[in-house]
Amino acid sequence: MYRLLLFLRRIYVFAIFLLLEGLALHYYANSTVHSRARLLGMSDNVVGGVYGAIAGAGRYMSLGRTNRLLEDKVVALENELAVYRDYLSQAALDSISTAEDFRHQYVVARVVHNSINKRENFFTVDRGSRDGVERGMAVVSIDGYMTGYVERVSAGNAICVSVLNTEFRASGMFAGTGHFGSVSWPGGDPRVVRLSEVPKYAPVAKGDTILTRSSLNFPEGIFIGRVEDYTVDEARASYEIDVKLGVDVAALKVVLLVKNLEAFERLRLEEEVLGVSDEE
Amino acid sequence: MRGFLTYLGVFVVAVVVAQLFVFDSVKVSIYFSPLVYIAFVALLPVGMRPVAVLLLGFATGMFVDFFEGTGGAHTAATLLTAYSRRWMMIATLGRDTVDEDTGMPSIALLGGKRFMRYAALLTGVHCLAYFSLEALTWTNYNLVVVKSAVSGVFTLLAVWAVSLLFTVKSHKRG
Repeated sequence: MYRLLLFLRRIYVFAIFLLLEGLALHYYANSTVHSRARLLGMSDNVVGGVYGAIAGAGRYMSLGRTNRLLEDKVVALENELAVYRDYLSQAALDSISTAEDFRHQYVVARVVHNSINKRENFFTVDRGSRDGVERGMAVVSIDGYMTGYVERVSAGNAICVSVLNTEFRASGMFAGTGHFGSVSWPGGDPRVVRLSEVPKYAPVAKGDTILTRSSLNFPEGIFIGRVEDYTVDEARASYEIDVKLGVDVAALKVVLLVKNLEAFERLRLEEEVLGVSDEE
Repeated sequence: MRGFLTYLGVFVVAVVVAQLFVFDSVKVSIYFSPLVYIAFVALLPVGMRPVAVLLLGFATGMFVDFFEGTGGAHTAATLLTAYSRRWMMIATLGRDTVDEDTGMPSIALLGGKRFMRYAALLTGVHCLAYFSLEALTWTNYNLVVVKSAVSGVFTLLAVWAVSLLFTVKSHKRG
């Protein structure tokens, strides 16, 4: 008995270490991108204000650049609007009326916390449920590039999965041909994502434009990037394509959150009918 | 009591301010990810009881995990570092120092060369452990090694800076 006690005294630190390490690894292995986003949402409630202040100082330094981007955007939108005005006036003359197209809803938000140096990068924006932000909304940089999607929403903040998150998935297609594949970030270069599962027979060339396909998260036609390099995976008869991202995640200051109204409505209907919910 | 206040200071400076508010907002490169908070574990008193080091390491790891949304990876790595700290000390400082000294590891207490050797080993082990856990794969392992090396150097510098900050302070107080 005494020897057992002696033995226990010798190894109890090791035993505690094993126990705690086991707990930590168990928790880590079972955590998902959703549970990590939830954790971030909780901690952001505590220190979000400080992050906001730091981001505020950073924003002040880059006001000039942001302003220029906004001006460019205004001009581009004006041009686009002109085309639609044209359509509308034509439609008014037409005997068959076309329903106005309000399929997307936009929210402008500032990025208050962001990272690029992890395997799973998230960023936090300063708009939440009271501004109409919902889980699953697309995040697009102010210059119109795919950036991520909303994962978790509180009243005044939203945690978004960055395109630089190894769990991030989107569907990307070639602008000309419509051939598509799955977009993910393999880790590594923060300016390059991987487009895989594009069938081998598709024509691929360096410099080709890759856009989003319509999905729950993304409206169709958002610019992802350009083909930088590619190889053929003979086993799967498909391409592995390196796509140079349009967005510079490290420099994100202002983003657009886009709600695909049609897709959200469809999802809601399906949930109602099937009684399924993708909440954890 | 003064010891407690000093270490509260180390925690606030290394973990809260440097880690969460400064280095987490720096977006220079994917390789630049210093794990400055480990300074708190590295600088606990030389002769502190292993079980206390382990539990404080556990708490530190959980704290960082909570704020970075990393779901246990920091806790697991910090536990490993805290548990193996005693052996790293014996290897770099000698058993006599570990048994006799009680103060905060610093250049003043241990001498520059020995302190840096100890701190380099500890930060190296911690960075490798954390970035391996983060990657959770052996493919592209050189990425983990490069990331550990780059971030490790900056972590080491930060550990040195924090130790300097707090040893200078305690000298002034007498």
